[in-house]
Amino acid sequence: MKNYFNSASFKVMVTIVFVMFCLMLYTASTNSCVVSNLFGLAATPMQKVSTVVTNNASATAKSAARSVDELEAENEALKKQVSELNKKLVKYYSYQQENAQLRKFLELKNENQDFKPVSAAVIGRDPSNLFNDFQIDKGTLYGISVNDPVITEDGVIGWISSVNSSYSRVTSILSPDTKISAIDKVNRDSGVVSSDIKLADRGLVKLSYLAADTTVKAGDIVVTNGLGGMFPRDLPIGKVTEVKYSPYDVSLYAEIKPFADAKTVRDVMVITSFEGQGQVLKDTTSTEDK
Amino acid sequence: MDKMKFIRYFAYTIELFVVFMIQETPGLIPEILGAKPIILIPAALSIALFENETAGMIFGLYGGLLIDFGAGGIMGFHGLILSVMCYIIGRMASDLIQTNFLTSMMVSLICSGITVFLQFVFFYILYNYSHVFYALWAHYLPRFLYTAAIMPVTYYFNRALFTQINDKE
Repeated sequence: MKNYFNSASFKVMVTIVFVMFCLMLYTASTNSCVVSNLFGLAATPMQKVSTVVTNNASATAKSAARSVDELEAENEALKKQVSELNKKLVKYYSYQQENAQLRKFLELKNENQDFKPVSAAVIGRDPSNLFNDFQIDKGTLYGISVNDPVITEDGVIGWISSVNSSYSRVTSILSPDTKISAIDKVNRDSGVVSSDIKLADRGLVKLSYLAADTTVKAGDIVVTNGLGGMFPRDLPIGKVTEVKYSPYDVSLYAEIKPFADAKTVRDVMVITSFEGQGQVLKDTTSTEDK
Repeated sequence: MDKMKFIRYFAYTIELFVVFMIQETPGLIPEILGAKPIILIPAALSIALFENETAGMIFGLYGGLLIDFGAGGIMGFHGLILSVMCYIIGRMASDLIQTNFLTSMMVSLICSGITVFLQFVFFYILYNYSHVFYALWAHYLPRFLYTAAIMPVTYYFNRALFTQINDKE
């Protein structure tokens, strides 16, 4: 037994345990380290390639596996959808005209002119993560920094939680770590959008802290309200599906189906700069129950 | 280090990196009951079953650091756990147990169980997330079973690799 503890392999193991423990403490305190940067330099380009190959193979397999009946059914559904969309398009043009007139009248500038967007592709999803967080192929070299908002063409998808030179990690909107100050676009009721594991499994988030007399109802659109300085205002988040009583107090919360699907997203946009970014962040950052 | 051993170790290094790429690529491994396996765990464990404790520990450390990098959390967590586990397995495989399919499955069940449970404690409970038992039942348990079930694939692959390169040696 004494020989065993004196063996070279045992000493190496104790050294490794000590080094790993120090590494854990270091990365926990700094949120970045040389080791992960080195892994990132080697792995990121290959992850890009493997993701592209997988996506192409998946698309090919999907179209090849569909039967004639499925294609006919899809064709019918699409025709119906086109007809509905044409009707909406007529309304859209009239609203657009009205909107343009109002904008001109109020001399409002285009609200997104202050955005500095960087497009990125999803290159990694870790199996250990429960909330559909993901890795993108752009980092500090493209001007991305921690807390930058991440969106898709549909709406908010998450925020940058850690960044390295060649890649970044995005905490998804389904994560309990995500708290977004939001507002119901229809009746101006505001609250905080967050999630938990049960909602995340159903692909939902919730708009919490609604007053007992709230008028939020199913079908309302929820957008960011710009408070907190982390997300610009008026980014679409999702549509209210149901309003429920909170199990912990007398307030209500609304379940929201996000417009952007964190489970399947492939391409995203990181907003590296916008008007009001980070302005209130220092004042509002606090530890909240997840 | 002789040439064949060097080739074998080089093959393990590439194997673990490829396994890491497969694990992290979105949509490549199908989900079962909402869970995805951490295939680097059985891969590192099966290498440790065929090698001595020092080599097993080094590949456990490498596999663990790859998991840490992919998870994006605290670097060293899985590195520490897997290096210690692979050290013990390497030691046991040379002195105490026979390396066969049955022992590999037992090793996989025990080590995957410990790793996934520690993940649950350190990355769920200590983060103060809600619905703890739901998370354990609906996510961590399927992940543990799915991870352990990958062992036959990595075991037979590494056995073939070890036998082939040992024969030539």
